Amino acid sequence: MPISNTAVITQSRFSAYRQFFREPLGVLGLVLVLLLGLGAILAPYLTDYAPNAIDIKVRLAPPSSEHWLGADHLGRDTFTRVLYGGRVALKVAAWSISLSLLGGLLLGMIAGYGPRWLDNLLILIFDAVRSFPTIMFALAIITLTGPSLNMVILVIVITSIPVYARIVRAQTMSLRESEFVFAARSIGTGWFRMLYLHILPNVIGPLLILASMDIPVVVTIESGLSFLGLGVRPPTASWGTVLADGYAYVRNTPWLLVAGGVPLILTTLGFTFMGETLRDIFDPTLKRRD
Amino acid sequence: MEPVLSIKDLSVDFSTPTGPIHALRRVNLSVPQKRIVGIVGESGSGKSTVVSAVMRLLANNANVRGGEIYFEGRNIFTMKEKELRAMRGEDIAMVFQDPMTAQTPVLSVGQQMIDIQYRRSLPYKEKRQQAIEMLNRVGIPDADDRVDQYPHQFSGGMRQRISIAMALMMNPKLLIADEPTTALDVTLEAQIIHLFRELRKTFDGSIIVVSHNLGLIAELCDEVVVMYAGEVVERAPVDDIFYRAAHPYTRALLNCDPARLGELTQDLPTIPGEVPDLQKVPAGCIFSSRCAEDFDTCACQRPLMAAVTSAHEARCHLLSND
Repeated sequence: MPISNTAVITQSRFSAYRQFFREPLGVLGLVLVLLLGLGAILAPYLTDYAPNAIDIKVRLAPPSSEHWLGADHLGRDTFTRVLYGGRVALKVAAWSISLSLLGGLLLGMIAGYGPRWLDNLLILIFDAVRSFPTIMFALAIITLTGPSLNMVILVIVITSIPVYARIVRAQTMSLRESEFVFAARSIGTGWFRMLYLHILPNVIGPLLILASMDIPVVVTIESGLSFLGLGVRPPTASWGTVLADGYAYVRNTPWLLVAGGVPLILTTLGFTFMGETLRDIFDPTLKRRD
Repeated sequence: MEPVLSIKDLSVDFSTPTGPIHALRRVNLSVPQKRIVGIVGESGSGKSTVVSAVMRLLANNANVRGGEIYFEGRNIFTMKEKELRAMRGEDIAMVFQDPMTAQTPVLSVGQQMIDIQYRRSLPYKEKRQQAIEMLNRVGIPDADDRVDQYPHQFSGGMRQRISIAMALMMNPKLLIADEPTTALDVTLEAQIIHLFRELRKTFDGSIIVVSHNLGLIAELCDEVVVMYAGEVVERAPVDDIFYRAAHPYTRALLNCDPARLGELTQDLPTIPGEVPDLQKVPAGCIFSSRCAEDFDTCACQRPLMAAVTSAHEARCHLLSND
């Protein structure tokens, strides 16, 4: 995806807000993202059940006023588990995206601004890491260490740092040749000041937009690994484990699959709509012409 | 008085895959205190290389083959990185050719001008006030409000004024203006020239103006250095250059200035021939292959700087043979 470094400057912040709220898809995305976020944060207040409380009397109960999304094979309230699953999903997303952003920015700027040999070395490492498919890499690592959420985050961070770093590196290299960087050198700006004051603000805008569109990918990876039993440890609720628990009873109780699957779909849609709208606003050259 | 800047026998090569280009050869130049020195020459004559060498910000493939640059008596080639950085911006500041790219697009003009003062321990409010005063000084209207605007909210001429304000922010002893009007249209150019002349009254440092625009040089400078293919060919007070040019290249250059054409002509005058290949520098006078007045000595012997008057010298056999 092409990223423009000049895009962020073309409009003032105020008009960007207004433009965002004029896009129905963007607003829909924002609403979905907010709902998910609030659901995850306020989970204990939104439900009377504990996510792991077993109540065998309501085993596989259909949706009702007591159990909004029914209950699973152990009688746990599915709605509660979905809310708490959102916590896991967003926690993984927040940690892994921010860590990979941080790592990607750091390594990318070092590769783009530092000496040539260091750049070559880093690019070699990035390419080596990128050559593993994410899921295979995750399977390999988690088989060695045992399933845990931290491992999931680690795997995602390791595999996404090179993606961000390459983008940052390319941007940094083109900025390095720009006249304002030369001008900054001509007033004696050192490398650290140069990177955080002149390069970073020019790189970070497009990167944040990219990151917001990567969140659903990360959420999906977490759910997928949890579904396979390689993410969170049972009985912890995650959308993946909700799906896995429902999967065995799909003929009798399809709502378990719906309960696990719909939040995933909404998350993907929400963050994608929001990210795309942001990108369109900040990078007018990519705007679809109707 | 001791000159602010003196360049002695500076030679710079650029290494390329096909061999080194001898971009500057034994360049001598000095900038007296409180004077404006113009460096004129066509593209590729080494004007900007001289300027980059003064800042010690030459491109990576440049090698300084010889010579020294003294700034206030200190040799900048022996300075440590820390001293160099302290010198840049504090003692020497630059104004660049293209005002549209010389400022960071994501920070407001005020933020950038406050940042320039990072070596000063002043409270934020005072730094901001300094920035506003400086913007006022270069003629930005409503500087109080506009200080918070971003570079793209200013026009090209305004941005060049801002560049000049930024360069003057630390009150440098030497201001280098590298083609300050080349990217501007004619009316803006006149405004910038006017601004520089206004600034002369209050700014007590020296200025180097690099340009191929003879009009700008004539308007602004006290002294002129004419460069051709990496050598200084003539150096003189501004009036001597324009009325009593001694070097055939300078005369040819003046004749080519469209602004000086007396009558309507179909064909604009040009200097015939091409700039010599600086990978294989000719043995004799660097200009001999294009010179209208060349004779047998020119092609085989390098002329020395010959004095015309005490302040005026040129590198030409016509002068030394007299």
